[in-house]
Amino acid sequence: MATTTATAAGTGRRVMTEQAGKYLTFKLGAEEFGLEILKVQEIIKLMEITRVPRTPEFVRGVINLRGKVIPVIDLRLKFQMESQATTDKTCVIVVQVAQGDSRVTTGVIVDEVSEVLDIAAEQIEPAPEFGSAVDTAFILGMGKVAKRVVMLLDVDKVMSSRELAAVAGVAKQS
Amino acid sequence: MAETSSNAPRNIRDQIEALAAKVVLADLADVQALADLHTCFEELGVAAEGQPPVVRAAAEKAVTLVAEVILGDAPDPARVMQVLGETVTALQLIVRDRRNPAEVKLPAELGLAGAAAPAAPAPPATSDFSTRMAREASAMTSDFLNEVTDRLDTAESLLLDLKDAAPAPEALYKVCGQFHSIKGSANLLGLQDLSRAAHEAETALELAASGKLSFQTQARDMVLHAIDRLRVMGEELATGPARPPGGQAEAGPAAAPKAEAAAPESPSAVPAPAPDAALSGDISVDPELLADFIGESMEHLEAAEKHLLEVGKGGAGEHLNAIFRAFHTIKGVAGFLNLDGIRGLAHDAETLLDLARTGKLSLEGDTIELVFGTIDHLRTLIGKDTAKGGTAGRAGTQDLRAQIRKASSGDAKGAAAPAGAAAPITSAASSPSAAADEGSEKAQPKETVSGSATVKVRETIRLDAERVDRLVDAIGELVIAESMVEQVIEQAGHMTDQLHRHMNQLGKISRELQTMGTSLQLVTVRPIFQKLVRLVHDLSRKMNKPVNFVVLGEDTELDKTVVDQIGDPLVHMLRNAIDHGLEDSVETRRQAGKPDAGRVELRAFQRGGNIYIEVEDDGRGLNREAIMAKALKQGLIREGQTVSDREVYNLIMLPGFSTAAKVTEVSGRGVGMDVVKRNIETLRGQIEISSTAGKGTLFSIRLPLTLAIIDGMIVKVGPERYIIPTLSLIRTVKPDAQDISSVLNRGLVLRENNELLTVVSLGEQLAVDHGAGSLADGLVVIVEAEGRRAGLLVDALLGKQQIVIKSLGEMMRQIPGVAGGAIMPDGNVALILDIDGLVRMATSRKEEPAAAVVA
Repeated sequence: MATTTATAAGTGRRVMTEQAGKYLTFKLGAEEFGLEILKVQEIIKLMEITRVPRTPEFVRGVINLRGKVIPVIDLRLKFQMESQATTDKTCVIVVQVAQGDSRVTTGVIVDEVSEVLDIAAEQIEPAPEFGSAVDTAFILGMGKVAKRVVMLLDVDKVMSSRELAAVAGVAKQS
Repeated sequence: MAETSSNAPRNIRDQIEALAAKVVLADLADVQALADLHTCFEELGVAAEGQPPVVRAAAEKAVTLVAEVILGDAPDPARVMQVLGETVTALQLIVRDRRNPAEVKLPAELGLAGAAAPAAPAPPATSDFSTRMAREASAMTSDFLNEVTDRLDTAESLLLDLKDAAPAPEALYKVCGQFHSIKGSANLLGLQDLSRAAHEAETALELAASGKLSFQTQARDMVLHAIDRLRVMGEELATGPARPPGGQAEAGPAAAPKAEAAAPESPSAVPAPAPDAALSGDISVDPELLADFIGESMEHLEAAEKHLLEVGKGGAGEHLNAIFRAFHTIKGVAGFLNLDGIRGLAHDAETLLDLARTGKLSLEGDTIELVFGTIDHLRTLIGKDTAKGGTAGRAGTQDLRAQIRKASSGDAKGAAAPAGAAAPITSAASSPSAAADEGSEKAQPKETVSGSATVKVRETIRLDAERVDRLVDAIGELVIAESMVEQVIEQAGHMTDQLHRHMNQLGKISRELQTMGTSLQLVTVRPIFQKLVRLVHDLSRKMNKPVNFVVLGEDTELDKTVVDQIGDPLVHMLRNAIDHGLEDSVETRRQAGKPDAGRVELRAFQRGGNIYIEVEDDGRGLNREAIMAKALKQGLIREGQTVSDREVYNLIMLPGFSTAAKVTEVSGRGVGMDVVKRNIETLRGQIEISSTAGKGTLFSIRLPLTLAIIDGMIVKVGPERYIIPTLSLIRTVKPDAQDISSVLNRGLVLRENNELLTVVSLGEQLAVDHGAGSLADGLVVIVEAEGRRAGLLVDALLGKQQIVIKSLGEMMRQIPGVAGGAIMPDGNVALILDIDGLVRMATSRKEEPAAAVVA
């Protein structure tokens, strides 16, 4: 049914069908984003972060997640937004990022977590193009929920190998 | 290699001598060296004009074998190298010592039968040989072969245990007895070659016992050589009939190596005597080994079963190999443990599978069922449940073996011939016992593994290593959590006497847990060291350098990961020590006033939280001048620069330095030392070289006891804290202002006991927001990085602590200067510094990389 129409509407549409599902939404400033719920491991309070030298600015450092040391990314800095002082609502979403064949646990700092949304295929539009000025490769699609728009993130691409290469690159330069 | 090829028509004797050294030194992983061997054997074949034909034939065959190894076609490359070694030894005898080729035993794998075909290496002779052997083999019981292998292994281990220059006669007679028995049985069966070889060994030992022959220099080698020859003969007897009857001219030699390679362990891994000893009665079997064997075999069988289920679903070759390996391993260990029933069955199954994987037999229908049946039966034989079912098991074993042999022999000949047909039967070791099957039941082995009340099997569990890791992790967490609780209680001022007592108790338990957790991952270095004993012996013989090899501290325990990875570096170092370290000739040693035999010592010991493994020789020592000259040429040091000995010796471990072949000759050391160093460093160890010209060289490896926990010094830099592994720590100084001077306003140098040390500001290197002008009130932690000293400028020391190392994860694995993370008692993470990386970074920006730290 929907699939037939979707396929007819072109590849972009079909991809959107695959993107339907549950999303954890969170806010960065005024913008709202969604993460596939399957990639989210847990949500924790912001704790003391140990800075790691020679890493890009958006890598805030490492934390102790019940005995495991995991890196923490500041999504605001990653998206070139202004950094903001931590509030009571600031928290860390722990996600599983695919890296090659393995999965890496990474923390993502966000302003505040909103809710878990069920987003149907019909509600998802492909990511708009903004030319080279804005890199939208890590946006799966735009979810239209009530009157808001939620940017659905491909967390694997947010922490893509290019980004990691950047980490290594910075490391090598210095 | 280039040198050889340019000089093709040179003396064949020299060529063989050169080959002898190359075979011993060739590293299986080193394609270059293998290619070199290939060339040398080829040239030998060409140069063999005028020599007995067998020389050329052997050389040509060796070329094929080397090619197989290079191409990865050889099922057991290590065995092939051994065969090549034996071949060269045989060729030495023929060419150099002008021995009659008929008397010289060539390895069976070459498919050339020296004894039977004196001057004719042509394959037909081989077939003749195999048929003769087949006839002989059929007249024997497998017991004889088992006896030979058992006794040879016993003799060998006894012999290698004799460390004195002149052992007590009783000890020698004990070895002698083994050969005497072999001789007797061989005579009985009319096996003259075997009998003669055993007799030679016996004579040598008797002479040594009566003091007419030096054990150290002559008798031992003669006997070991005899053991090798006897083994080969035994293997030939066992596998000879495996060759297809009346096979094509090419088939003989080609098939032989395969059969050999398939079963290299069976004859050579049976140390205990009494071939048909029921396990229950055989106390010489180590209960621990036995328990391991049971566990391992069950796993192998399970894997084999899994793969067998996949056969027929495509990709059969790979699965067949896997099944083959499973049986092969079981066979090897069963042989080692003297479990002949199991070994025999596994061997027969292996033969069947070998036929299948070489395409001589298709594995389907009944044959598959047969293999399934074998797996089940082996399970029963090995499993604990069958303790009482020994008799039933035995009868079943024979049935099954007969069936398997029927299947293999039938298909091997391409026709369904009955098992009893006169034609040789495919499975060699089993063919003698085939006769026994019909004749006497008693000749059959009779054991089930755990059917014994007399042997107390120590219970062991084989665990997934990851589970152990997780346990150790959890224990680490517990320790951290405990100290966090303690801290909170103290800060809140709630510590009562009672609470204090409980906390103490808790602390005791968690420390005990930590020790236990650590010990779970520790194993002794004994197995590695034992392998090296034989290696050194062979090297010494091949290079014609008598070596007095001393091994100390075999029971030293190390992290399993380390033990698994330390073997290769040690092989390298021992090769170096014997090849380059020891003087080239006994005469040179005499002139230097040293005993004829070069002393090489391998020792392991624990000191503090570290394990040391050292290789020391009393050879000529490192040639400082040659190394310096080379380093100067490569621009590693400047003209007129003063360089300490330690720095000079460290140079040989630099990559480009040691891999260049010419340098090796000049420096007399350094073959692949960079690789050794790298391997050691990945184990978080350090290697140091000290050497005295003319006196010898010492390589000392320092390794952490475990890879999971280190001792660390916690330092404060600005608002942050970092951990410096105490392994690299030398001392801490509070420098006076005049001791520190700035260089070009960029770097800092500390004057310490007339030594100038580069000082690395941690705050700067780690980009810490550094408030105070730390130079005045800072501390300098003197560390050693890659053999050089440097100072690290920090604000304060916060204390020493055991640290559980945590990885920072994939994403941050390669950050220079950071080795990992650790969770501190307050629950936060602190970074463990990579001192080598830090110092390297800090100094490499300067124009003179080495100069800055070289005082």
